[in-house]
Amino acid sequence: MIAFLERHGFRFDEERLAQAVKRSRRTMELRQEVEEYRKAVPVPMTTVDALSCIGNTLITLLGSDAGVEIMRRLRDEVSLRVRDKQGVIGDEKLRLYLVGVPPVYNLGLLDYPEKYGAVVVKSDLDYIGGCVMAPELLVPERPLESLALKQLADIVNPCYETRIDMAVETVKEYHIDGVIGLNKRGCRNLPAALRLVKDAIYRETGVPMTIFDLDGIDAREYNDAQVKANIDSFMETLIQHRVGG
Amino acid sequence: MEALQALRNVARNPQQVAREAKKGGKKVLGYRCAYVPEEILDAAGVVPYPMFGTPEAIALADSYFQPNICEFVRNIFDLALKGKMEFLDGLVLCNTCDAVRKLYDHWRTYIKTPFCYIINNPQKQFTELGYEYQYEELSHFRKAVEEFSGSAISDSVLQDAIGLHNKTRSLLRQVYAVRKQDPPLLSGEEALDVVMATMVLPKERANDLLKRLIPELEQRSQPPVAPGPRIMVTGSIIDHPTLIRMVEESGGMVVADDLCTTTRYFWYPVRENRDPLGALARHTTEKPVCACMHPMEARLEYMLELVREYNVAGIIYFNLMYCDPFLYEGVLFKKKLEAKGIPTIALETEHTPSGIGQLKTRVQAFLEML
Repeated sequence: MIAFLERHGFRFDEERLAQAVKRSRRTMELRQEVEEYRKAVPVPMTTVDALSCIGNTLITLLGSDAGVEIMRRLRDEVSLRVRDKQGVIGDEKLRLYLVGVPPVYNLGLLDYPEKYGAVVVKSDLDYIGGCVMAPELLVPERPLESLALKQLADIVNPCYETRIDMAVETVKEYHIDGVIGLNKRGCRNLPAALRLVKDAIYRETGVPMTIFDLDGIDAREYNDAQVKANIDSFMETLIQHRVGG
Repeated sequence: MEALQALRNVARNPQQVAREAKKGGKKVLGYRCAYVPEEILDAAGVVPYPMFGTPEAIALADSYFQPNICEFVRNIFDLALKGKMEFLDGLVLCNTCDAVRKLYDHWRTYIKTPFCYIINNPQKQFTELGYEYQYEELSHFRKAVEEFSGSAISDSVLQDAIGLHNKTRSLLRQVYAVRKQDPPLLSGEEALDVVMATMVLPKERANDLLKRLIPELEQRSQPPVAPGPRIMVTGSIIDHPTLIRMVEESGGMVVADDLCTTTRYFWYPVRENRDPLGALARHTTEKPVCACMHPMEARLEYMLELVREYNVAGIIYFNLMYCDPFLYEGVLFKKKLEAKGIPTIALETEHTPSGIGQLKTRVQAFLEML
């Protein structure tokens, strides 16, 4: 890729790349701290906030000073909320984990379970981008190797062991009560493995998972009433499960 | 047409050969797709079984795979869940599409055969880096097969296996030569059966039948299809003759095909050299037969070679629903092929084509236009 870019007039500056990798690592370390705070009960920030603040920062500002600064401020803000036990909703009864692409055209849907005292505390979209949980993979002295490792650590890579392990660990560490799996019709990678994720989570933790069709990108087939009915049904099951348990 | 009939009988019941081998004490590994080097399995005395689907409705697999996943993969997994692949000792897949990669994950989790392996072949072809990576991948695969089978795979045995398979490829090319005639002396439906049977049979037996088939076809007095436009069929996997038969019943002569179950299997010989593993690595990184591979120009050139050799008048893409690689390619290549004056139609199908009547209408309209 470097050779290709250089053929088109760009000059590769390894030192500059090393500095970018260093800033990326720092951003990832701060992000890791944020993730630790997100495990707190009550949860200090919503998944919508995480997708907006963390996702956008990782996608557009990774490797920049601005990226480091945003993540530092986010870490500070979240840490204060945890210290003050300030949750997203007043009475947090259920904690949810979202697997799949949430409806980007209607992120407000993620607040819908709040009427049951349920909060979506985590999305597996958080893991896309690689080495989220292992910033130590980024070593400024070996910038190209770092980028390769970052890509290999990404959960969308071929086999599913890592993704399943991450899903199970997430359920345990974030104290999850229920998992919502979204099947995006235009995607093969995740939908082809939702059953694997569901079975692994249930086997390892006993936490149930519901799966239904929802295209997070293409709004044309979105049916708000149907989607909410699916969530309602799952929430009722979770509540009964809790009462029964 | 004794040899033809023998081959067609094998194609109609493809599991039988593998089942008999299993009864005879052999180990049998199911595999997909054209990038899995059968030669390594053969060299270890393991029977490679190219997994085909069946026209039967999917039942159990739908609770494992979402319905927007390739029906062929769901069909294969359904057969396994139903216990209809019980003769397999394992599975070998390679890195092609998401559905195949997930078949590996599902098989390993829910079917649990003694052997389950995915070859991570690079999708960017014709690079030295890709070749070196594939060489390492195949070295690991060779070791895994050796451990599984308990047989060491020497270079000389592997060399022999490559020679044997190359002979099959060469014979299939000779069989296909009769399709260059006008009218062709082998129908599209028959060609599919011949190649599918060849894929299933031990190569010595396949080669014997193919050698007998060639004079049978050359002496054929009655063409097997009615005169019509010369058609090439391409797209996702076709492992049942329904679609090809429909084209021929609609008035087209299927004279060429670019399918996982036809030319993609045999078109390119392995270039034999002193290092058989290197030859296989080169073969699998320079065989541009699948829409999963890059660069697309190489695959387009291979298709144009088929068009020229078989004097094709029009191309029909049969793309399985949710088979992204060929659905994307169908749109792109339609424009490119038409720009070269080759009429092309891209149709979306199901693995068990329930809407065959509607497809037939579109195929008939296409044939009338030619």
